[in-house]
Amino acid sequence: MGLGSGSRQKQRSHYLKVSLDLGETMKKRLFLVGSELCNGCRNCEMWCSWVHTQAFGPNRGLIKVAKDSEGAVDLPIINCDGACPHPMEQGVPLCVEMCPTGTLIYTDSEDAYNKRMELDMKKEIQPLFRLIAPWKWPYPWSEWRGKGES
Amino acid sequence: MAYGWTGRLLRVDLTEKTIVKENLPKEWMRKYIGCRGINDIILYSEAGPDVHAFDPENRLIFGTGPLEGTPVGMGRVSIQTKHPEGHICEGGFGGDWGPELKFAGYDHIVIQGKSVKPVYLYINDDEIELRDATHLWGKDVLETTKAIKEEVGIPDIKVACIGQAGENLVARAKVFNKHHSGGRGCGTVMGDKKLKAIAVMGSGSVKISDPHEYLRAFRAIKDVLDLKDTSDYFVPGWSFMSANLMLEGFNELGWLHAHNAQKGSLENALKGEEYIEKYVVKPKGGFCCPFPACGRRFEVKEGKYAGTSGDEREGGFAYAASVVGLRSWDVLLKIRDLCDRHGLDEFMIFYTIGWAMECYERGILTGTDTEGLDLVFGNEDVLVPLVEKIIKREGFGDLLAKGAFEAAKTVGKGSERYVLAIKGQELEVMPQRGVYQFALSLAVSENGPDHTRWYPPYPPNPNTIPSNMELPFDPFMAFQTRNVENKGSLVKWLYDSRAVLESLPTCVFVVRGILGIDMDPWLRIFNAATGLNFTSEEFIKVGERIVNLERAYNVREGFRRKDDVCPRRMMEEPIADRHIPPLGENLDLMLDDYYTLRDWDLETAIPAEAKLKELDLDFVNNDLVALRE
Repeated sequence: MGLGSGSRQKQRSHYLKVSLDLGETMKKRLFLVGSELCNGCRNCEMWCSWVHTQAFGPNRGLIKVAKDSEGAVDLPIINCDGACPHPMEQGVPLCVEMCPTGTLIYTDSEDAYNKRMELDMKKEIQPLFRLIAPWKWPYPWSEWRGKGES
Repeated sequence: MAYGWTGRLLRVDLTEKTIVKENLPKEWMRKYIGCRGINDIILYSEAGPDVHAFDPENRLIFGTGPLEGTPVGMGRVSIQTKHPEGHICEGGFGGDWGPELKFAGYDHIVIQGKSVKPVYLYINDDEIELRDATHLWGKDVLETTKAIKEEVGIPDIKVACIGQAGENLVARAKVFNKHHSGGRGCGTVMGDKKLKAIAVMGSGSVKISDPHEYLRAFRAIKDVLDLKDTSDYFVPGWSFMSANLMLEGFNELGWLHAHNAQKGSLENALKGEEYIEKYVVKPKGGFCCPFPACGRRFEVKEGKYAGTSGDEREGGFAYAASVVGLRSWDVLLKIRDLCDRHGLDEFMIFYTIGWAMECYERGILTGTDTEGLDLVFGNEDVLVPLVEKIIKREGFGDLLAKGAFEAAKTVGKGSERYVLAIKGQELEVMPQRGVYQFALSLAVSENGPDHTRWYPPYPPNPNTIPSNMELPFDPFMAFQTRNVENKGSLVKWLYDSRAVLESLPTCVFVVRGILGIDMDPWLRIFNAATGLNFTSEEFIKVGERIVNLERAYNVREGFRRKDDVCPRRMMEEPIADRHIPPLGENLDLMLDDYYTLRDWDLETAIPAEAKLKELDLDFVNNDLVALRE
């Protein structure tokens, strides 16, 4: 699980100390950095089931997206140690590759912390970051050129 | 078949209270694939011309397809029945319900008969029963969902249900799966059958023939839609705003149906950005949708409607607001919430109220008819009370609950001239005088105006079209908006290709860029999932077969070329404020083109014998022989 708001300095230093003790090879993990960004699409749930059973079905992977009846809450519940059996062709596990909003990230704890901070700051200046994480969307848009226009 | 399809169909008779599991004919899987295609053949075979929409013999069919339950299926469900006007009534929703039906082990559910008391259908893998729903009758969509969850003790059960609008037989009522909704009119038939809900829980899975090829094929599709790397101009905007993206563009181009389509634009019209800034709180997505925020959760934080919150899956309703001259997001979102909770179709609401407003301004309806409501365009105070009246069918609301087309028949006095409907069904927001391919597409649609059957109608980035790709139309001519060149071939392609995509199923809103004109990525993922070896020709032929079968269904019901029309206003009146001329004879020119390419008779629009035989629809041809004379 991620750091939540992570705004308190004490919490941060405690967390970083623990993560640094893990060593280089263990550093990267699955983080849920922005639970409010989850749109409930279940891409992570379905692709995790594919990784484990080569088929698509509920309750077969290590992630399940919890939803309420109203539609106000979507939250991936993760039961994963980060050691995905599927080869990470894109450098990240399939659940992260397929996540459209950037809710799930695969990184080390320090980067996860910084990303959460970045999200909170950018939300203030650009309301679209209520819908997608900054690391999934190049901002400012005006500086970006798609491949079709090159 | 072991892969893709479950191969099982559930037949539920509400009169006899019987539930039968049937095998899905393998021939159908090859000929119609699934979802919309197989729904069509079931409806064609079982609900003929002697059946009326509200007869017990009418069928209500829920269909999924071979790719449903896998990510590319996007949770799309096709719901189909017979429209009260006689033609096919079809629509669909996304969300978690369809995949759950597949996980429970069924491809299709066919509902027939009519119950005396309200019931709901409970499916938990092989445990299926009809349960009493008297205590749920009168509850809205979200209340029903919660009540069923509590009753069965499964918080994760997926519920498709109708709201009070469906119960009260309000025209164009939809079926809802939480905030996902679809099937304009199917909710009305569901209400007539006294079927409140279908609750589904499944523990199975969808097996893939070649899982690794499936992943590669999925990545190829996802790459086109990748936000950072897409070649499609609309993908970035659609990702956050969906249809609201074009709200201001439509206004500038004069493409809005403002004031019941008397005008093309509106001063101080709604702006998509304002919606994102002030109201949107979190993204919402359909099942395995690759877009981050195709849907959004909104909250109204201040003003008269503070506290209103809900989800929306389609921005189209914001365009429809201009029909009644609505300029306030607060009121619009309140209406959206009312529609979502009570199971209404927001297009029907706005176009019907728009028609009533024009009739009021022209003196056809008076203050006595409207029970004192001052129905002038732009009067925002009357809208919410009026929608509430329509849901309950109280007083003046009872008239409007029939929809504009039927209401005009009741009112008479020339009010029919101001109805914006095709085949008895109110328009959606697609402009017709401004964009000729939209006019043709809507006119020839077999289920009334429905943009999802030919969406998206814009060309891919020219740089991404391979030079060796053979297209049935010239993309540069076909996508020009106001000439008739190449429109028949474009619309034929859109209909055929989207028919096969909706039968896989997948969501037509992801058919972006090159995916809209190149079927190979879809064929590749279909073959990988099912283990079949369809060729490109076979694949697109399925689409053509589906369109011809649907046309034959309507022909059998008496629909002919005369019914493939646009509303009178679009044909005769210009958009004065933008100097856009009416459609006039252009529609006829495009229809000639379209029918000729389809090999349909120019006078009657009946498919030719040779075409039906070429598509292995000999049994359909036998039904049409007598009708050709």
